Amino acid sequence: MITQFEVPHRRARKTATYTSLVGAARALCQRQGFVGLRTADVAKAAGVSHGAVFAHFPTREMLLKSIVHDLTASLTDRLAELVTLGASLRAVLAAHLACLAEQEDLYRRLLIEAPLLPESFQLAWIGFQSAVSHHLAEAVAIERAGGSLRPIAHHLLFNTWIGLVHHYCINRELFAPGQSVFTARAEMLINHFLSLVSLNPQEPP
Amino acid sequence: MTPSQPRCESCGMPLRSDHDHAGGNPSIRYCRHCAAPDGRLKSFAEVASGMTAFLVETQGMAPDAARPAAEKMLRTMPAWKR
Repeated sequence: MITQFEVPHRRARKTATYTSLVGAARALCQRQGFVGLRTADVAKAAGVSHGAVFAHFPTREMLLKSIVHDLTASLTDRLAELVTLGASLRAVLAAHLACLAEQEDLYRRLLIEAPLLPESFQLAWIGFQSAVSHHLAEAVAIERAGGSLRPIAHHLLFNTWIGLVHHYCINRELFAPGQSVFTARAEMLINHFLSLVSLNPQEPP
Repeated sequence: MTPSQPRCESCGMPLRSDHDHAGGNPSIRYCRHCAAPDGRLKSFAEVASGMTAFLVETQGMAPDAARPAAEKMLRTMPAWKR
């Protein structure tokens, strides 16, 4: 017979197992990538049986989706937290790099592997990048009103920024060996981008 | 999954303030883009068109690529799951 005391205990144990599984899967994805993640390795790293993985995540894809969803949702929320109302474009760019730096290893893995993952992951990636672009758009509108930016379509402006950021991220060992490239190169990337889009490159916003 | 901010059940937009909810009403689970001020959800086609325009404007996606992506993204949301 299950007593009234055993139910909360079981629930707590279930939550603890879930947290261990997600933590272990996340760490493995960070080190070895998403594509090669094996549920047996996740179970071993979390210290639970292989069957326990499937009690929480019926398929490997659902486990991977959970990691990607948590990453993109937490990055979007963090960016919103860091970007205050009426922030300058420089401040938004700095906030973008700061939140990417907090989860740099996992973000880099997803950036490299997204095209190799099932379509649902690519859709999550597209949705996330549009959310980032939207944050930039709010700051760009303010700078445009002040007359400091060249008349560039917003998507080109965003793609110029994200192209730069992703190139440095993928090749980070060339640009910031053993460090966070988003931290080590933040000032250079922001200054360079602002000089490209500014009407007066000598005095970027 | 880790709990994060409440999101529009139609498009996934974060609902950070009352202003983000349809009609400025925090008890409505949809954003101001997806529902009328009285909370009535727009049609799937209307919401998909809005999402397509958003993808085109924010990332410069080709409309032919953005439309199916928008429709598939919406189909994962509670309001549009079949």
